[in-house]
Amino acid sequence: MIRSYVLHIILITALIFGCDYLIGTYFSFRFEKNTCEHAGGDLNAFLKSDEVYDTLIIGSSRVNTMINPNLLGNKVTNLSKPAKHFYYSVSVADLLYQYRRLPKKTLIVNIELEDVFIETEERLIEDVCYLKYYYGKNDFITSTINERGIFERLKFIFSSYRFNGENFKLLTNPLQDICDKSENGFFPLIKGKNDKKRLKQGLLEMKKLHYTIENPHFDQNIIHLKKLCDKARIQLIFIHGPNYFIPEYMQKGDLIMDRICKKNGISFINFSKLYANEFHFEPLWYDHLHLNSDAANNYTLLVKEELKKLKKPATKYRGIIH
Amino acid sequence: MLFNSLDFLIFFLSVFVVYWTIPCRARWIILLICSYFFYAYWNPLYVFLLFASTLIDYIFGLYFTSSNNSWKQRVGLIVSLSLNLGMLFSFKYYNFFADGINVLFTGLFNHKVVPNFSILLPVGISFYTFQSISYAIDVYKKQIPAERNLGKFALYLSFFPQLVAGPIERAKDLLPQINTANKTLSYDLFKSGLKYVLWGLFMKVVVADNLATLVDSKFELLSSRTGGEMLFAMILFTFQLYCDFNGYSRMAVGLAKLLGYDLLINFNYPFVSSSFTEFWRKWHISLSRWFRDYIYHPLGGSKKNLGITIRNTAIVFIVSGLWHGATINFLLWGVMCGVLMIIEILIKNYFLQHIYLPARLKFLGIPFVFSLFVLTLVPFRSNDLNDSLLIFEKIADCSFNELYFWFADNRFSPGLLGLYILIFIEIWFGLKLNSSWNIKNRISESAFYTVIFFMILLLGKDTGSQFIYFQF
Repeated sequence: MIRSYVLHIILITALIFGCDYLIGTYFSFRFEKNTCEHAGGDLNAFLKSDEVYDTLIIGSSRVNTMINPNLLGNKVTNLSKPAKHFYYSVSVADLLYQYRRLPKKTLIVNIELEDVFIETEERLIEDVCYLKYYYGKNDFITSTINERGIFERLKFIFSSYRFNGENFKLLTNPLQDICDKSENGFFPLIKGKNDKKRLKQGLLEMKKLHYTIENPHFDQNIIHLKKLCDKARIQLIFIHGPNYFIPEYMQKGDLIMDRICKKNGISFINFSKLYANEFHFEPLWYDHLHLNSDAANNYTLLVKEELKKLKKPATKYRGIIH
Repeated sequence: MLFNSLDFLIFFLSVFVVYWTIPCRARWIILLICSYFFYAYWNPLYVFLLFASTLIDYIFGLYFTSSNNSWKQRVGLIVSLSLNLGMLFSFKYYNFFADGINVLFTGLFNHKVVPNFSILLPVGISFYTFQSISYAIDVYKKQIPAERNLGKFALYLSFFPQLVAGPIERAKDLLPQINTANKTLSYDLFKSGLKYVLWGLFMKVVVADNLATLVDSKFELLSSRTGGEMLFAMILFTFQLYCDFNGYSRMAVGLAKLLGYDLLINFNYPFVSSSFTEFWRKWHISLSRWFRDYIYHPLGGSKKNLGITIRNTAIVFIVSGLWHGATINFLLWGVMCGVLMIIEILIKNYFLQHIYLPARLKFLGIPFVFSLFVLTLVPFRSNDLNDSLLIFEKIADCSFNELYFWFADNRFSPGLLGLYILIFIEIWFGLKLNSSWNIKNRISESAFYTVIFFMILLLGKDTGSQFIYFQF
């Protein structure tokens, strides 16, 4: 009797690991082939392409929807992801460095000022989990994911776990014939009749947010990014996009960013502070965080102007630290 | 420690190994220690609260047994109930009532008269308080003998698989199991427990957590949503709530089985109900039974006249609303459910009594009951009363713009994929009115659970999100 049960358990275990191997292999194959926006296909395509860029922008949806890389120059591209914040940007940069795919001249990283507070760190680490495919292949991603808990690495016993979550779209999106295509990572938000409503309600929700304690690990990641750029001999620039309303935590976050960037000799352009009045105008906004397509193009031109000024080392102006 | 976390997996594996390797006599002690550790892991201070609740009813249980004076026993019961409900009131309802009083007095005298306290709600307090009240009443009514072993009684109240969100177990069911020392782990028991855990985990991490992402996105920036979007979000929320709570309950039953205990099945395919009476017999069964036995029946139930039945039904649903949370929204939810139930009672009494309805036509009531239940959940999900009213207003508008595109984009999203499987399984087993898993063929059974396992691995949200019912 016991022998039969033990045999049954062994068979089930073998079945599970066998299936896991097959599923893992199949998904790896699909992942490597994928060049669509979903399931990390854009990043995958970028790692595999031979095209050389001068400037690369990484950030969240505020970059996807607000910066048009084509207006910034010919050899500029965008690898931003909606709802992905600073640790994700560092992970992508680390991965690009590993694959020798960092841009030739400038890496622009959009930063959200709530990211400097400890209250948001859990979410920043969650963002990196989007890149679990590279767990074990990239040290920075592996160590960041391991920060979720001491048992986190146990999940990776199953190779299919690397495809948990978003990567399931590798199977389902072909069924729907969906392959998001964008203009060089730019997804403009078209003006609509609900914009004002969204802005108002978003502002109400934003006003409820309170972040107070500085994240002690934040500057380590900035230093890590700086070191990567130094090794690749490229310029690192942090930007923070414009906001309709600047809550208290953003002002505090701006001071923290200023201090960290000054200490490490990194340029930081805070458009929210520099152009506070210019963007305090309801018709420019799709919601409380994102500009609509017209305003996005204007904002991109402002970014271009500010980047030009940065290239003149003697120039000193408000909101930028050299 | 959440059932859907790795911390819990390690904890449970350790408990499981130690529990089945030590002598039978000492097993309950290990379970008691582990249960208190499980609770302390969340907040060590509130362990004292749990112990206080245990001690109160342990002492009163012995008192009811030793005293022959019925008047003294009645006073004892009142004191026991007051202490239990007093604790619940202090932690859960104090601020709700203080706010109400302050609103009243601010209007009259322009200043607050009752201070508010920011108290962290002890997780599971509503569940273990109800469990402990049921014990006190049962002992008082001589339905069960008082438990003389404080440790075993403490385990009855703190048994970790069901401590924080039920099922609310009766002493007559759980205490005899605690007192049965010679439990053995059979292969069938192990397999059955594992299946419950796996299916519960699937419901939670694949269906509920992924649906939560879709639902939450619709509840953000509410004012810009259309009625169709909100109606669909509410339907998804209904499944989210069901899968979240039923997932937890199934895991609780499975974990208890792995330790040799049988717990009450909390849900019995409630969406396959053709009337609200049937629905409430199948939804959160342990709580419904508690209300039936300790509120509805003592008040007279439905045995007297129609007026009394309606009054009792109203009381039960208002209390049920407040049990879920000390907010106007939960109260409104309770009132809505009560009104629907009363309407059904009236229809049954005045119309259906004279009309013969063939049993096979009863299925027509299923979508009707489901739709109305979805609407009652609007205040349950909303942040406040204004949001609830806004959602009702939007749903009444019946504008279904953007709904098609939203569904087209999300129809293969993990939450909906999980939901398709769940609905298929629920209908399959629900229509057969068969609550047990009778997949005869061993190979297809193994294949089914292997698929479920990989669905969890691939589609499960691994963020360790909390269970909705933990807040109650």
